[in-house]
Amino acid sequence: MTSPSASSRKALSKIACNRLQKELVEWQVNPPAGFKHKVTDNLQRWIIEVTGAPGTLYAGETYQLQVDFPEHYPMEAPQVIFVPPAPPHPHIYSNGHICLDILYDSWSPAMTVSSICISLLSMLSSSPAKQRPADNDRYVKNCKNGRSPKETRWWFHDDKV
Amino acid sequence: MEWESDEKELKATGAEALGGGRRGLRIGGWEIESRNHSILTSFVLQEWHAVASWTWDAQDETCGICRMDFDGCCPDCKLPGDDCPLIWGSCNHAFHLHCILKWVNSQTPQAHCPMCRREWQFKG
Repeated sequence: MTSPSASSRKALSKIACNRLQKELVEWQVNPPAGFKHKVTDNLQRWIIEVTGAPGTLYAGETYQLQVDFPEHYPMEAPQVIFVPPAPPHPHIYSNGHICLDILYDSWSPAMTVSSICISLLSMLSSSPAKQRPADNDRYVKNCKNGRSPKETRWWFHDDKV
Repeated sequence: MEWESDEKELKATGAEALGGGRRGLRIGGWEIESRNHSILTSFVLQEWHAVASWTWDAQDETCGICRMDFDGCCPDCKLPGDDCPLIWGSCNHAFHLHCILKWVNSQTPQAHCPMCRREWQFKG
């Protein structure tokens, strides 16, 4: 699966660059518990390793997140997906797309990569069962050609997980 | 431009005020005098000491959007202060004016405060 390739994305604006550098420094000083940022020289795509919290269904398991930043971050949300294999979860599709409102309609420019990570870990930790969303196969089939989850019209119906 | 001089400070640098209602100083045999506008069009600042400082009256120290200090400016500006003002919402959250405008203009029909999600209204 591919997301929009690095070459087709527009370079970060000055504001985006500035903010991301600040976030990176803040992350190095105070990383969110359970997350490791894999250092690369690409500010526009972060690869982050997440480890399931102790006492949850995903305890000790590790997964990779891919965070791609748009030109006008933070006015626009980053694209956040799990690099397959994605954790089996009622809101995470097998292609890595995540159904979480803050990544789409409820994004706010005051959020950070760190705050997204904390929300994702909380979402994993509150999972009642390791299972895929009911419409997984249909959704993933519709997402061929590397479509971004930001183009999906999400319907946020479940506020428990 | 108001001419003010401090006798002690002038003496400490080896200069003296011109006196007699003239605005300027005498130093090293030279007289430097200001008339309606400054006679100095360019100069090299060698030393200064601040006699006052300012700060925005905001509760946070950094703008929640760009994460730059409020006492600095947004990434698009060069100078803090009047050129890059802060603005408050009716919810009392403050941002650099330039930052919140970018957010508000990108949201239709209604923008929400980035901090508390209340409907964004500029504080009157």
